[in-house]
Amino acid sequence: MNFFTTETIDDITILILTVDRLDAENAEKFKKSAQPVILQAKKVMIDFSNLAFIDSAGCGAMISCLKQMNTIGGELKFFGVREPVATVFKLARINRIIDILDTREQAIRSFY
Amino acid sequence: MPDRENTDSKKLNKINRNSILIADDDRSTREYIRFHLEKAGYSVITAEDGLDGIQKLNDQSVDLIISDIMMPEMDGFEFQKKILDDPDKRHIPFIFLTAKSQDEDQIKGLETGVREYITKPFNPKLLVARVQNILRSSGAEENIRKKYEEMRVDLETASKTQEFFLPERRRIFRELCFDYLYLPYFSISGDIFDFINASDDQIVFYVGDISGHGTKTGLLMTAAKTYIDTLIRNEKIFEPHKIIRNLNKEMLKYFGDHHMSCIFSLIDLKTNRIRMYNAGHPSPLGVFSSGQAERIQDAGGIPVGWMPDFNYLPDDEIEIELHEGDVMLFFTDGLFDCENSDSTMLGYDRLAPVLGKGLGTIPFDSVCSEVRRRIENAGYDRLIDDCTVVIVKKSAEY
Repeated sequence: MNFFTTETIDDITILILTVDRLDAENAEKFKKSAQPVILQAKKVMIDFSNLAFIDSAGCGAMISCLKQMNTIGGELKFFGVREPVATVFKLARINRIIDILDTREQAIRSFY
Repeated sequence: MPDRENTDSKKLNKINRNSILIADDDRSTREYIRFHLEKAGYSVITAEDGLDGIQKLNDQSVDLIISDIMMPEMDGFEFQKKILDDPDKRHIPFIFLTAKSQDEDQIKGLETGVREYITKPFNPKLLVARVQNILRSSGAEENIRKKYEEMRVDLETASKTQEFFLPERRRIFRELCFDYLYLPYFSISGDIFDFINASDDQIVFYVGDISGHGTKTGLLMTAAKTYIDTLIRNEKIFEPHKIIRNLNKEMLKYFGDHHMSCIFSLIDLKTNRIRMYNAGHPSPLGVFSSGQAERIQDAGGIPVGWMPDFNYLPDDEIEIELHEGDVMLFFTDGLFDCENSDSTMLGYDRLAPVLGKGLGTIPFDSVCSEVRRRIENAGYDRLIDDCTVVIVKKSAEY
């Protein structure tokens, strides 16, 4: 199963989520498939615009992506987060550790 | 109580060799089958018809039944149905061995769910080979059945252990009344909460939710609870952000991919002021002078177990003073992650509007059930996760 497609703009890797749910069922698999992409890039942004649902396991998978980026000194940003995913992120205060931008353009600009 | 001698003989049977019941009204056929099965190492009991078979099975258990269809007292179909209807016996594999050889007879026989339909005359070597095959696969099924049963007992024990950790309901500390509702979705829950007498004038109250489900989450919940107890009672650490800071450091070692969202609060019983830190947990609701349930704007930080170096600061705590009649509701996401018949989720943002007005005017020990009732009345009656609600009400009446 494909969780995302990737695009590259300059030195930024954009990971576009293609699934509409990230939960206890698939979070572990997502983590494994995202790992190699994330370990190769210093600047990564994740496009959430297709994602309609996330639970705590899904958030956990995002956090382990962030931790990996941290170990190689990389930067991770989110954009295009819709409701109700946005509410889950707000309740978990995920914005305290990851920059969440509205649009792709804003996210790209935030790297510079 | 099972008869000891009977149980022992059953055990012996199991250890030594498989036993087979043959039901056939024709004596020579019975003996012919018996001869070949005993030669293959099986222990054999015989019955003259279905009724006799049922009686024999009351005294002795078998691993397989071979039955004729046409018999005087109780025919093979009825015999097989009686076995299927008995929860202790329905797992025993059943073979029809019969002279009824028409296709429609065979179809009718197989439709009852028997393992094999063998027609007379039959080759005894083929019969023995089929019996061996069936017993081999039913041995594996039996092992799975036993393992499943063991797991069920383990889960039940774990669930009882968790219940043991629950605080008493309807606790009153001076002017503050506490009550809760706890609905584990599976037998083991990752929800955690407690109110602890920290000093003469202080209570530490917390509610949390460990990510994931099942045994591991349940064990982490027990470990977290023990650690929190030690921090508060022995180390005398009461300040919410400090408890969370310690918990984060300690739990990162054990949590693996799990994390815990939680709210810790220190309550001063002299002033009825609540100081709280929210670590990535759904913000509590308050019912104050307006009577309307409303979200309490808290600052806080990320869940415990996410980042080893996250700085849980006192500046991110908030303080609220409770006045007469005020109610605060703390809960886990199971309260609002519930669905209606269209599988639409209630969601956090719709929770306060659904709860509406008036929760402050009912007795404190009815608030939790009223909360659930209002959510169910709005149509969201399907729980999909563990659900915990804890309420604190300031009331001088008690």
